Amino acid sequence: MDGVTLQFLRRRVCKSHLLRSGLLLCLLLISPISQASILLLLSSDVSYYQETAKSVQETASNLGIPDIQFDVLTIKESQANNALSKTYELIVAIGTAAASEALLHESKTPLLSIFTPKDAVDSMQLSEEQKEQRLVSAIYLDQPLKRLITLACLLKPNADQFGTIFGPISKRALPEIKHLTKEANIHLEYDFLTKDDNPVAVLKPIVAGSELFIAIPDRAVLNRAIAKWILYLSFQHKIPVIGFSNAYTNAGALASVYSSPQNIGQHAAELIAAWLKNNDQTIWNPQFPRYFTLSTNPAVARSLGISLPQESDLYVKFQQKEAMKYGE
Amino acid sequence: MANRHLLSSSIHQRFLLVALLPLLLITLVLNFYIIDARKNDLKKSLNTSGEMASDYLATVSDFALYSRNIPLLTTSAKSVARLPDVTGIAYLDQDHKLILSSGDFPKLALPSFVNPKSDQKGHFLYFKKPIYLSGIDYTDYQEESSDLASSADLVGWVIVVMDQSPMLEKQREIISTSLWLSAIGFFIATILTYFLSLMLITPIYKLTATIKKMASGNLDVRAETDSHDELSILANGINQLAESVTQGRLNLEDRIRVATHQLHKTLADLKKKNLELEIAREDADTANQAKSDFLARMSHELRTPITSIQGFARLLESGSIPESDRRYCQIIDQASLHLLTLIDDILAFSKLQSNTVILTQQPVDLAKCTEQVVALFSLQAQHKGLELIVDYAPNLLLQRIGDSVRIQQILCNLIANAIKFCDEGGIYINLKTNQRQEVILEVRDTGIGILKEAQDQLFSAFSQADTSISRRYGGTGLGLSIVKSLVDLMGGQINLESAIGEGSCFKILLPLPLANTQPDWQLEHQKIVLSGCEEPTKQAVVHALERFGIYDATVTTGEYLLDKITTLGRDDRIIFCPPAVLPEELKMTEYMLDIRAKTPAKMILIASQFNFYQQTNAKQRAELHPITFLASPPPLSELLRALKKKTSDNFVSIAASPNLHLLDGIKILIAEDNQFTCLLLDTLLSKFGAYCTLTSNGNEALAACQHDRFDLFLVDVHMPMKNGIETIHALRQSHNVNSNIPAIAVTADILQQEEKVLFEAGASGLLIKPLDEHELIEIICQQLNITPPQKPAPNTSTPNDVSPEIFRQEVQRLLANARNYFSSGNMAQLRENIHQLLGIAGVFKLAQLETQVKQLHDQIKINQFEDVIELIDRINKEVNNMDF
Repeated sequence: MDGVTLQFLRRRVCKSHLLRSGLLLCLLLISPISQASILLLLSSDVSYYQETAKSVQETASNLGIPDIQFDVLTIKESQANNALSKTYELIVAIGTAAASEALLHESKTPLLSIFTPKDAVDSMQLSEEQKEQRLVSAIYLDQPLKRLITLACLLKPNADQFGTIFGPISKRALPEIKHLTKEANIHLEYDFLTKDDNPVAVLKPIVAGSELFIAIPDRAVLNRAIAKWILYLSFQHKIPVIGFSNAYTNAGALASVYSSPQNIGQHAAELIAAWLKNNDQTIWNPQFPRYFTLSTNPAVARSLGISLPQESDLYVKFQQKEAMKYGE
Repeated sequence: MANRHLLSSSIHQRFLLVALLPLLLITLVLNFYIIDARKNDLKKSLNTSGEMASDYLATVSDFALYSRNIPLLTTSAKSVARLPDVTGIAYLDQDHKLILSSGDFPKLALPSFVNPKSDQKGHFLYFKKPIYLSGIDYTDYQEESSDLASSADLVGWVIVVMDQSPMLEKQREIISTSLWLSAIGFFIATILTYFLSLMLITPIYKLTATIKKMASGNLDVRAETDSHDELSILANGINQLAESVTQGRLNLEDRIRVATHQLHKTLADLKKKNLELEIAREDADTANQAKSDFLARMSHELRTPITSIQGFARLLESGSIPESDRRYCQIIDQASLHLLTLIDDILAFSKLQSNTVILTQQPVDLAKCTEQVVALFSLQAQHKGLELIVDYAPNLLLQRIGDSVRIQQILCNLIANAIKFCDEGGIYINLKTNQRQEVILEVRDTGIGILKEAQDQLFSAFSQADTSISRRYGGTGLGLSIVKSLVDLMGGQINLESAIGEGSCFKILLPLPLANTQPDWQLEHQKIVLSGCEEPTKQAVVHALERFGIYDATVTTGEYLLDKITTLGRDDRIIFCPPAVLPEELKMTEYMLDIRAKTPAKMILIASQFNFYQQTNAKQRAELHPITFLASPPPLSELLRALKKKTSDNFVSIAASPNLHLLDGIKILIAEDNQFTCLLLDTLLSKFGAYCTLTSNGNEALAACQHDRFDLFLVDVHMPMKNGIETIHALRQSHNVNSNIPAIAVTADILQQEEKVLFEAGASGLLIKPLDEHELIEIICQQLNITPPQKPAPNTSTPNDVSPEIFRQEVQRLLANARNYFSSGNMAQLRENIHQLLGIAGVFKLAQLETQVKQLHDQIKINQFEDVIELIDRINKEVNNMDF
């Protein structure tokens, strides 16, 4: 997480705290909870957005707020219906495009952006007026770096040499990861990769000098080829790769930690329910997803000679380590 | 041509052709297809190899190329280079700069090999593929992790070079192998086909040979039938057919044998019948000959007594007998004449009935043919005071093919009939034609006419209009029957139009074909004045002039003639036709002299009653010169000659040479009953300056001696009334100024006894006909004591001075008279007539004519009359064909 962005968000929450509290109070007074309506604005109609929306609705229902009326619309549908001009208690933008569309519209309706990469949330430019008049928060799609380190340590407990590369975006996480590896007494071998670099030339020494390679997503440089070569080089050097998606696990990473649509939907619904029921303001703190999923590739593990526990056992172990609370 | 050749070749050749042609075609097509397919397969295989190799390298070389891992690229290239036909591999970067190449191929072309995916240079094929970076799906949510670096996918190019040489070599091998295999296959197929077809065709050959043998007559041969296929069925059929034919032939031979036997029998019968028929025919011929002989004999035998009866009756009539006896004599004469005509008609009719008349097909001049007949009857018509006019339509072509004798026989009968039944008016003969160029002959008379009821029976034998006619006019009633038979024989038609009191018109249509040549009648243009002519003479003359090409003749009457002729020149013509019966006040000679005084134009006088030579003297004729006298009706040719003739050619010649004045002032009395001889003597003597007085018998001559003084007397021995001997004797006995003048007797022949009597009677000299100008002048000069001229060349005698046409007319006239005399049995007159003919026959030195006339004369002289008519006909023909 970019510290600057987080601070900014924190400041924005504090400055407008009174205003927002008043506004929420007014809303609560004017419109009873039982009458609340929420717009689930989907970036498109792809399955994972639909699944996220479904998870939000189901979780909300499970949490005992059945009176909330959800309008589920894609951007195109909302544009067609001019839905953003209507009065909602909350707009939940699912996906980066939906968040951008919601922000483009002059509105005071609180906005919760979910299923959005952190760097995308960070790059959203809010006007001063928006900052003053509108509640905006997010649940990132990315995982906190600690979960990657935790998973790496779980799978390669004896390793003391991790390797990774940073792109122009992900290089902001270098201090954090340094801190985390240091805490775990692990030496971090890393390098920076730019668009003009020969990725193999950059990757090859890092992989060669590491016992485990942690792949950190970076839209600026990490592409399908580099992702492949990471796997290719790691296989060459017989070291495992810890990824950030189920697809990467299937492609050849030893294991990955990521949040599924259900994980994010559940997290969002719980925040909304807490906000609506208990006026819990946690929702307005941008945050990593509370829930996550682990995936492993036993075939890779076998070829690397790594003993891989059952996913359930791994998850339990991971949760035990995760139980430690990370400060935002 | 090819088809014909194919059809004409043997069945084996055709079989081979039919079997092998499709095979060859199929082989060629399959060969072509297989070669083409295999070539394509090879090429496709090469292309596929190239494509696969390049695809493979493009797939596996992205990392090595991207990372410029040359050893890795080399390893990849080597793995592909082991593939067959891959001769080289090259890697290019994104900017087409060569990174790596391996193999033996032209590398210079590589940098320029930018755009095409594949290319061919020489025998190398280049396969070019782009190398993209390959990757993996590393994110679960594509929309949220779309990478920003995906544009850098293309990292370079790989080029795989394939060598086509092995493929081309293989293609050549394929072609060669295929062709060899096809040729061997075709050769084997040909041999197999040949022998298989030979096996199939051999039975057909055998069948053909069998049929040929059968066709050549060997029906015992049989076709082989040792199999059970269609050919065997055919062979069986042929054998059965041969059996049938053999059986049929045997049957036929049996039947022929039987028929031949019957035929022999029939032939024998026929031979017998033929012999009988031959005998019968000979009997019939003998009988026929006997009949002919009998008829001829009877004809002669009948004629002789009838002639005697006639002669004695005429003798009695000429004597001093009572009027009633004279009348009886006339009846006897007429009855005899009738009997003679009857005999002639019966003979002609008998010939026609027995179909012994055969028509000759010779060129016929219709004009001559008609004019000869007309000449026969002109005297008869003249005696009856009848006009006899012949009118030829201008468009009638006169030269035809036909039997002139039979045509003349038709004309004779019709004209004789017409004259017989006509007492006044005339007989008008019209010759016309129709669109089919057939000849239409019309004989019209102004006689008594025929009752309509009687007209149908008229052409039947022995039929006349009514019995009173026979009584009144006589005749056998065979004439028209003969005419009808002849017309039918010629394929023609005869019609009769007649009305009682108006006359009759017989119209005959004769389909006489045209002769190859027609005479040219065209005359040079000249002014012609036609005067004094009355219809239908005028029309006949006008038609004749139109035939001569003269359409503008001036026709006038006698009273205006003198006015019309003043402008005429010497070369113009005046045709003058006085009526048959001249008015008493018209003095023809004076009238003509008046005309001559007004114009120098030549005069042509056409007359029947006016005897120019008797009614004019030499002086008048000299004054009238140039003038031509033509008896009516004038023959066309004579009229044409008269119109053509220059004035100096006239038969009335004018003296010109010194010798011709030899007899100037000598007056000669001529007694000659023959007009032609008379004219000849007058012409000859006038040429030498003599002045002749013409008389036609002894009495006239003696009378002339009473009035005029003459220097010489030329007298014909044979004359009617008083012959030459009697006349000389009478002259010597007379006591006048001419009693002692030289008298020269002229005769055609004379017996020695007659000659003696002649000189005893007082003749001074004798001149034998035919007249020779030199002999005549010599004997006259001798008698008159005048020095005779030098003897001229033999061929300079009379013909130049006498018109041949006049001569011809005179001969024809004498022949016609002879025929009449013979028909009437007047043998004395016949002898006299033939004697006259003999006298003039030698005038033109025509040997043939002279010989024939002499023969006729001799026969008559010894009373041999059988061939008289035939000789007359022959002479007539000879004189018609004379070429002067």
